[in-house]
Amino acid sequence: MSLVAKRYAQALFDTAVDNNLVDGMYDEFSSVIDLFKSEARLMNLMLTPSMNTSEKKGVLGRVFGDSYNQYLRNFLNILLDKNRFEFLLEIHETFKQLVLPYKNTVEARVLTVVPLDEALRVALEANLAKRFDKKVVLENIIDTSILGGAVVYVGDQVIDGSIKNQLNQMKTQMNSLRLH
Amino acid sequence: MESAGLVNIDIKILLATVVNFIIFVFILKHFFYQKVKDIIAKRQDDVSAEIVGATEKNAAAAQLKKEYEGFLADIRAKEREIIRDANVEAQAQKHDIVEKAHADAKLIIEKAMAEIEVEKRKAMNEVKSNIVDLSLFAAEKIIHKSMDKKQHEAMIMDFIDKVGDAK
Repeated sequence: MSLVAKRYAQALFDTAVDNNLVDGMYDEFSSVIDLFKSEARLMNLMLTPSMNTSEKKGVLGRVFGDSYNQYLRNFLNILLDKNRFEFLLEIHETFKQLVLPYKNTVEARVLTVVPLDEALRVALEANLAKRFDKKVVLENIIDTSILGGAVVYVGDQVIDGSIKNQLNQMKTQMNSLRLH
Repeated sequence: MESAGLVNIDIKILLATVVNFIIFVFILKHFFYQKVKDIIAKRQDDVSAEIVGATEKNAAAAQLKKEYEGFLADIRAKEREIIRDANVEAQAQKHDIVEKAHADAKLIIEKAMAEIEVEKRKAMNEVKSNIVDLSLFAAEKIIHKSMDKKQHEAMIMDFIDKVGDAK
């Protein structure tokens, strides 16, 4: 992470904490990022030098309106003023890394062959929360290469309960058998 | 006239001849005898000296011959000794070479056997690995085709239970 992203993310985080808006700020900032990720043209517009800052601010105002909190809108405007909008995604990533520990939350990715239904998702989040003593935010990724079961990535930890892993263990055991 | 025979003896001529001969002998004896005698004596001495010299040379040659024959005998003896030593040395070397060749051959055979064993083991492991790979590949295909959504969800549920129990 760049120093610029760290500085801006820290400033936004401090503002959110001071105003007791951490949860709301995180959710809104994440939805803003989702929008910029899904609408590449909007991001390109914010980065184009052929458009002046006030025009860009106008576009942002029309897109987000008053539905987002004032601090976040001001923050985006500051990024435009300081010509730092290109760091937006990086700032969000850094912001997330500040918010999650603050909320005693950890992000987890779970790979499965079939999508997790709500009941399975809730059960898994609950069990992971029990295991790590933290709230777990789960992202389900479909990966047929694991063949069955599930693989969970939490930080730098991996919990592999996939059929693929069992087959690999079997393969290792069979390959380690000595032939005479 | 006195008849003359085929051979007539004239006393005067005979006497004159005898006197001449005596004078001749006297002159010879007086002037040349001693010199001729000396020459002959000197010649005899020279011949004697040469004979003595030749005898000495013969003796020296004989001595030299004897010495050379001695040397030759020594040389032949040394030659025989050298050949004998060389034979002994050659035998020893032959023995060493044969021993070394045997040892080298043994080593090569052992190494070859070890390499064969390694290659054999490698080939067997390769075959084993291929069998394992094929078996697991087949297993993957079968699992992929045979598992339905319910079975997947059952497996995930089982995993979730284990995650909860693992703390």
